[in-house]
Amino acid sequence: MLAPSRRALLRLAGAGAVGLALPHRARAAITPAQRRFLFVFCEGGWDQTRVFHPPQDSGTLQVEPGASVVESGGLRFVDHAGRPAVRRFLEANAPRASFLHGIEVPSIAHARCQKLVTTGAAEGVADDWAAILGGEAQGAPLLPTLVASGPSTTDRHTSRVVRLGETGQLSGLLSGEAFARSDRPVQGLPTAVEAAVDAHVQARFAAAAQVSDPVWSERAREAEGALQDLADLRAAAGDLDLSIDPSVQVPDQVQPVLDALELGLSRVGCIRHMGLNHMGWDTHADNTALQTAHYETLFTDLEIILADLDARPGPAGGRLSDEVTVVVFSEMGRTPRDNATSGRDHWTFTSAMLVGGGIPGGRMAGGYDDLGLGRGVDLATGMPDDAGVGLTSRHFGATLLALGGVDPAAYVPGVDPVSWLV
Amino acid sequence: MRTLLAVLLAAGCGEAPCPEGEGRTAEGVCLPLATDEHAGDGDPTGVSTVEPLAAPRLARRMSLDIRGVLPTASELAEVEADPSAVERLRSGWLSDPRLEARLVHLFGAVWHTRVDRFDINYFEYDTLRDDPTVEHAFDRAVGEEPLRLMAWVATTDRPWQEILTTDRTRLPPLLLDLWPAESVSGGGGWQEARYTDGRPAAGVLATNGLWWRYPTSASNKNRTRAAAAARLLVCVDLLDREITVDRLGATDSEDAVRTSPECIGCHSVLDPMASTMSGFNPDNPHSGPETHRYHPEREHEGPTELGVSPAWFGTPVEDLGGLASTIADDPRFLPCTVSQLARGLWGRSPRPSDEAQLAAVVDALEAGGARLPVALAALMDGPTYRAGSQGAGGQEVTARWLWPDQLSTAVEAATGFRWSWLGFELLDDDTIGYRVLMGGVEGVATTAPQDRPGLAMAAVWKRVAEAAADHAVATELEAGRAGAGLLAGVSLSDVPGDPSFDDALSDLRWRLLAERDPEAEAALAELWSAVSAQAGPAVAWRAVVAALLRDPRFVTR
Repeated sequence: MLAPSRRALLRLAGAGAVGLALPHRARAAITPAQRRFLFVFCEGGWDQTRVFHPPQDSGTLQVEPGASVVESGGLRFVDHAGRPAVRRFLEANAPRASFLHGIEVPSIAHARCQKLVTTGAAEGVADDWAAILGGEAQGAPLLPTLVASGPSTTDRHTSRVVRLGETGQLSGLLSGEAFARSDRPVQGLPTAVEAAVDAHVQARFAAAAQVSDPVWSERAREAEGALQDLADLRAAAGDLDLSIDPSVQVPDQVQPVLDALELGLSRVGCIRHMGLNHMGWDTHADNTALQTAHYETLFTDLEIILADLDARPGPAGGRLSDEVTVVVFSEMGRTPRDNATSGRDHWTFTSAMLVGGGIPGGRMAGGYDDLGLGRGVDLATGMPDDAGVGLTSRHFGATLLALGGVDPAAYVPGVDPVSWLV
Repeated sequence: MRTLLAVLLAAGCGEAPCPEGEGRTAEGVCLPLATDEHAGDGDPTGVSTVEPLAAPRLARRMSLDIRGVLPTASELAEVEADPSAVERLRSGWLSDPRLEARLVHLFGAVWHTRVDRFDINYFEYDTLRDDPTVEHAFDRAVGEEPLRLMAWVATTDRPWQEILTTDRTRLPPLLLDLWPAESVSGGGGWQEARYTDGRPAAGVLATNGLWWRYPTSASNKNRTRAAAAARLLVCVDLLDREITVDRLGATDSEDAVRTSPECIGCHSVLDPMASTMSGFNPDNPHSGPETHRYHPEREHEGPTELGVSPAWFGTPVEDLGGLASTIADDPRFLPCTVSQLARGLWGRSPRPSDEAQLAAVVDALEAGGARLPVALAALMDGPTYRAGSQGAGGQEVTARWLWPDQLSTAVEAATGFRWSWLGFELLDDDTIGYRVLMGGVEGVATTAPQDRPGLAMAAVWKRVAEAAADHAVATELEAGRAGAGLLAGVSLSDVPGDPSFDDALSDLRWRLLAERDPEAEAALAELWSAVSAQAGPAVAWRAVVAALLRDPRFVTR
């Protein structure tokens, strides 16, 4: 967390900051448009039957030895002695956590599923939900969608998505410390000269944006905007530490993202969670032991992250956790029974968890049938309804967009959000 | 040929048609087409409203795409005097040895093998265990193996089919020392080589580099590899199909792929391909020494485990070598390659409306003995490649950002500066470098280039430009060596208004941007004056060079 004096300085600088720095007692209610997001992507395909989908309910699916079903605060989940963090987290956070079950991602290829679950589109170019939410952010934050790790797919909102780099390389570029990482000695320009060159280059792009060629004009405008954002960011938060060590645990890796959310520099942060020892969730062998270890690690990390969010002030004046919705998801599920190597293969139905700001706690929308397939759902009540809507990743996305005050019709026309969760 | 291209192009396009009278921009937005007598022939692309690049800018674009560097001053002079010189120069450039590296990057952006890390235990190699700084060179070498083989075929006057039929590969000394292979050509650097472990003559399909990028497992049974082969070689993405498990009749995956209607459609094609690849089956998929060796004794495992006979899209094949030669004869093979090249050169993916243009390139390639430079030249003769500017509704990507490798090589050739650190090429790496940050392809999480600018891209341009400018001024002007380098004609004692200053500035801008613009030159002179007044002429020249290296006309091609 940042030192108070530096936080205060950065707020006063305030270039592009979203929201107002109101005193806590006077904080305003958070509107959907003010809502922020932290996407935690569990890469590889988690086994939904280890937490979200109790196979005990079916009577036909394979049940993990030692697992039981627990209900707490309206959430129903699988509990196991090997994963105490899951129960601990859900019991503590049920009032602000919801599940979305039975999301169909109609592929068994990781890359395609990643694209489907994050964009709703299988082909062509598309912005993912994080890029859209960042791109539609009010108040022009300087780092609208900040990607620490994980997949990022962009199209129209490319210029609104900022990658930190695997080890936070962006930080060095912003500050100029990057020059120290050179085999040949290099020195930068004096500050005033740097500003003069920046202004000259920006003017050149501004002139390029005046041409009638629509592609040239648009791209030059975007470049000019990027240059301005770069300058504003350096002025407002030039010494913000955005470095990342990918070898440390996710709660430490995510610190730059949380800092950016706290300061109002970002609306959306994205990070990848690979489970225990960054091994990945794709457990085609030894599923039981590995998924247990991964979920234990994930929920332990989520505990730490939520506590961190609780402790940080938000730009709107309250707790940052009141403003941030944590979206925890994976690109696919796993088959509801073991294969020949005690693993589980790819499954086209999965679940997602939403925790934090704006989430009506203790709600579960959708469900699974006795074969582990997703059931239809009444979008208004969240109840499984075989005559209802089959949930797809587009419904998932529409729900996220609605939570963020973005009209889903603009991006997923004809698809309604799960209004029960909004 | 046109039908095949139409199928290939349609498979990649999921966009709804625009209303009548509108065309889709490169960004996917429908805009009114310009009213133009030449567009009235039903061309929905707006290509007829596109103005081609002026000859010097075209030469610059070609030089960057073929060699990765700017045209020399004399080459620009030649083109300025005679625009038709572009084709003559291009002919020579297509024989330039630097084409090999460009092809590595062009195909690398599609084949996705130039990743920063492979899923193997590096400590099993003594060389890597003893010297971790070698690891980056190792990763690049592995990932480039299939690409270097392809580039070698392209640049040594061989028919393109040889990327599948040759028994050779290309390996550097680092891998020759570690892998079961021997050099054929000798010499340093990337060498013609041959594996000594009994693997068949199957070109890229017999390279470790391809299969390390697309690994398999006991349950996967080389299906990932078969899908990769289909996607990369004939542009058929078998994974690009919707499936839904609720129509599965069986609950076991291996039963389902044989019996379920939902699965058979793909697996009836995928599994026979995969059955030819079991010679690459590893006992331990994370062991380098295990996976770098071919296992002829396992060749029979594929058909047995998968319960199918080897085949390529229904055509029986004997083995992996037979698979490779069958692919080489597949009518989709050359069009797929052309499509991949077009993506790299056009700054966008091909669309159905490009069918005729691409068909002409494929025809030229076939007529030219399937020599890849013929396809490059044919693409570069087309209107899409040459698009320079366009009116309202135009859909061509006229602003094409430099790829990271192009920025790196162009800047180095111009200024002498290459940004490396601890042995890492920073514009070619993502672990500590800036490849993805500046819009490049990393190959796993980032599989397409970034076509639109963003803050990170702007930050990379900025710092590369500042570093290169500092290097050029320090090593040329301040070291008293201004003469033949970037700052030829520049003197620290000249000021704006002096003919020598004005000529040097104009010449500098011309050589970097390949266009003349008195207004822009005047603005640069003003920048120089303002900076010089504060910090002196050497810093002023740093500022000017940095400004030029970030200019929109420099960072685009």
